[in-house]
Amino acid sequence: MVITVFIVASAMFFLLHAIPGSPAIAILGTNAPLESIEQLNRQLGFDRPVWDQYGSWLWNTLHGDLGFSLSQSRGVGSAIADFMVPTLLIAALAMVLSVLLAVPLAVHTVSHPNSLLSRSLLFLSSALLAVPGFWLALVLVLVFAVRINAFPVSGYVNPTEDFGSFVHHVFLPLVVLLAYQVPLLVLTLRESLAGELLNAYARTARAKGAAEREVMYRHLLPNGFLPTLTVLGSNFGHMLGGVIILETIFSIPGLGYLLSSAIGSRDYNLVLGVTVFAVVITILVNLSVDLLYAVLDPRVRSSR
Amino acid sequence: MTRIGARPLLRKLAGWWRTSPGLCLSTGLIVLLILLSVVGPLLLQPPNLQHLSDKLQAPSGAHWLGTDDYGRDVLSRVVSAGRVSLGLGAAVTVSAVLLGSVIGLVAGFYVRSAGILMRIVDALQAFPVIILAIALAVGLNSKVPDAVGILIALTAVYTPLVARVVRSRTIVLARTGYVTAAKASGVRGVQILLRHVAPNAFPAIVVQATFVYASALLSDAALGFLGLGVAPPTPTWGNMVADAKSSFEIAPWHMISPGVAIVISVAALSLAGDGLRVLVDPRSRAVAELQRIGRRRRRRGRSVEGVSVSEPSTPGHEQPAEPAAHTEHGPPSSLLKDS
Repeated sequence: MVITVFIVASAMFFLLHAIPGSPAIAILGTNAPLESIEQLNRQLGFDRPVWDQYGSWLWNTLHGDLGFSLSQSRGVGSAIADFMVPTLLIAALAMVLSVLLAVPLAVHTVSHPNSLLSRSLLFLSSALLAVPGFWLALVLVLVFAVRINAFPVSGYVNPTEDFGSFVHHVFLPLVVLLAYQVPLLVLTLRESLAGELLNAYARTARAKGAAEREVMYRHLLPNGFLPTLTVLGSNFGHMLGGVIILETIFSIPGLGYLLSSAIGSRDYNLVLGVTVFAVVITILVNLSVDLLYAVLDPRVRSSR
Repeated sequence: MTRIGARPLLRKLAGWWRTSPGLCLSTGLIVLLILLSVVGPLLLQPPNLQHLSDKLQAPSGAHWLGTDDYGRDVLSRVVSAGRVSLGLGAAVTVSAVLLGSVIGLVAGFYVRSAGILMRIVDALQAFPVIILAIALAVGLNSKVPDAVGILIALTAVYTPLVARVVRSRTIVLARTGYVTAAKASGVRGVQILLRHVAPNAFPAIVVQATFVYASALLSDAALGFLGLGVAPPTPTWGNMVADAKSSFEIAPWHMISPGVAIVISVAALSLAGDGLRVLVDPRSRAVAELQRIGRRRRRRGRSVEGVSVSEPSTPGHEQPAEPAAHTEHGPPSSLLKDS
């Protein structure tokens, strides 16, 4: 895991330093005299050889110092700390809500495979997975914010300030995230539940007279949920990317906003910081999924 | 040599339609989309032809899908964008599949190489797709043409998906009797991989390729939307939505059409992937078979009331579901186990 972070961070560092156009030009403008650009570059340490810069960046990062953000005029760490709350909050909400919605729906599609709801649900799921989030966001804004005026077009309110307004503001972005996440989970869960149904223990449970609901929730779900958990974990990165795109559409002051402004102003340290942070979060989520696996599945536990 | 006459061919198609209608439908749709984006631009007006006096018109007889904020015909732009987007997606798919297959075959067959290779694959996969693509697109942006930058970025993103599937398939195949026999008779490793392992892993690769194509279209659109894809005025579905964003409150059709194009192509590809997977994967074949039987039984039960229906034989019914399959990371689409 540490190795993964190291590879990603190093690759990012060299990739970003391959971008032509120095931060000094971005600060002073393209018309600035060459001497002052060189002077600023020297001042900021961008005139040193790449290896040297890489070494000191790595050293500082290992000590928890992500460097100084020129566009934010403060430490990268504190900028990320300020902007990460909305992003992580929305991502976490979407994760929790999607599981809460997907489990009963998936169980229904398996226990009543021929009902109208199940069939339309499966069709709708496949269709929704094909919809690009940014486009769905614009369509929803068009319908529910511009035409009907039921939700704000954009913006964000801190939940500690005004919770109702927070819900009002994050409702549409959440719907967009759930429109991808729920179908994904429903389809995965349905498939693994249907697969579990082939096992002998499902027949045994039915034979001993367990109610269908009990067979589903007590016997099939604990087994069938494991692959879904993996999908949930490995899809977290995708969702984080989705949140980042949605932030630019809904003007939410999160990591996506920070990242796009950092790219615009060629703020190497900040771009590096945000991407490395996103990777670390994604890896941590995946790690906790693996650990959860061990808690939930006795077979995995005993093999360790 | 048998020449397939018209009648048997028709019968074959009909049989195909009966067993997997979804696959038929989606294949037809994909062929149609490709034809449209190849032939369409030849018939329609140039996508960048501007009539500033006709800007932001609603759909009409002259402009079936209306015009955008430069007075360009949206229909012809959507069709030309299809050429760019579908073409770029295909290029990404081909290169990711080739690279991923090689990595997967080698990592699955030569156990000692797996450590390093899979570590790199892990690193790439740990990266949130869009963030990796953004980073790569930004990093490569001014060094290479946009299309090449996108190609490299998305190939890096999707190679791990292919590599994982191919590797887990190779590990299974490497334990089969015929591979052991080939090894015992002194066939070189490379030859075993190419002759005996790769052809058997091929179905799994094809299935994964359709899913990669579908996701590549979505990622390419997202990058285009963020302004990191192929630069305007060349239309792509992603940058068309971005263009339309500024005026979408007064001219929604401009934004709707490219989005619908994305949805249709991605849906067709994933439908095709699902259909192919059912054909290839015994586990999902068993599940699909059971569902079809259940449906048929219900339909018969409804039409012939009270008459007991004899249970049709269920091939694959007793297919043991392998719980071990779940420990491999990745969605079930990648759980292509022994056939």
